[in-house]
Amino acid sequence: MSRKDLMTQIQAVGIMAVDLHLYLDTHPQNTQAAHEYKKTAEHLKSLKAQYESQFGPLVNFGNSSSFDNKCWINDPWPWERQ
Amino acid sequence: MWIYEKRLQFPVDVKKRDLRMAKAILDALGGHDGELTASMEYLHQRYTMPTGESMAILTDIGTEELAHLEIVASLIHQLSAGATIEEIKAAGFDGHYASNGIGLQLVDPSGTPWTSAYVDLKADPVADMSSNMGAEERARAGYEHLLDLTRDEDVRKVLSFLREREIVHFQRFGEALNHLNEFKNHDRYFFMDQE
Repeated sequence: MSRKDLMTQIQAVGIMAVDLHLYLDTHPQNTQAAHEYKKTAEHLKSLKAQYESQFGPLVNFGNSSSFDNKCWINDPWPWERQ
Repeated sequence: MWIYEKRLQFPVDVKKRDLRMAKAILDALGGHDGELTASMEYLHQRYTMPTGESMAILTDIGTEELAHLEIVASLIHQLSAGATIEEIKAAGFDGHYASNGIGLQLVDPSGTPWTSAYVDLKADPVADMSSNMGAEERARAGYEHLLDLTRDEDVRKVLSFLREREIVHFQRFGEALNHLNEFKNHDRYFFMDQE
C-alpha cells in the first residue's frame, strides 16, 4: 500500500477511535461501545505499526519502537502540500 | 504529557491558493471561538472538576481541539503559501503581510490578537460545562459561516469535518453536564474547600 493510502486508513480508523473514546467518557457502562473501541484500537495499532515499519516514525520521545531520526527530520511534515 | 503524532487527524490537501479564504479562516485559529480558545479553555478547566468523568472528557476533547488547531493552521498555510505580492494586495492581506509576512500569527481576520480573555473559566463545574456547550455551538456556526464563503471542495471537506466534530463535542458536554448536575444533587458540596 502506498504511503498516502496507508495514512488515509490511519486517519479514518483514528477518527473512529477518537469518537468512540469520547463516547465512552460519558457512557462508561456501555459494553458494546467498549467492545467496538477495543477492536478499533487494535486495528489502529496494527496500521500504525505497518506504517512505521515501511515509512518511518509517527511519534517522538521514545514512543516509536524503531526511531529513524533522518525520516523524522527529512520526510514531509503534516502541513506541507502533498 | 502530550505525545506528538506526525500526521493530521484529517487530511488537508489544498491545490488552489486563496488568500481571502486564508484570511477568513484565521477566525478558527486566533479568533474568539477558534480552536486555540477551545483547547486552552477545556484543558485549563480540568483542574477544578469534581469527577473523573468530567476530567476525562475535558482532557480528551481538549486534546482533539489541539489536533484541530493543527488542521486549521495547515489549511491557512496551504491556502497562502507561495502567494505573490499582487495576490497579497488583491486579497487585502497586505496589513497581515506587513506585520507577519504570510506567517500564522494567532489573530482573527481583522488582525485582533488572540487573548486569554476569550477563555471562559469560572472554577464552577456546572458554569464551565454549560459554557463549553455554548462554545461548541459558536464554533459550529463559525464553520458554517466559513463554508458559505468558499466553493473549493478541498477546503469545504475539511471545514465540514471540523463542523461535525463540534456537534459531537456539544453532545458529549451535554451528557457531562447532566452527570455534574446529578453529582451536585447528591449532598456533596464540591464547590467548597474540603477539610
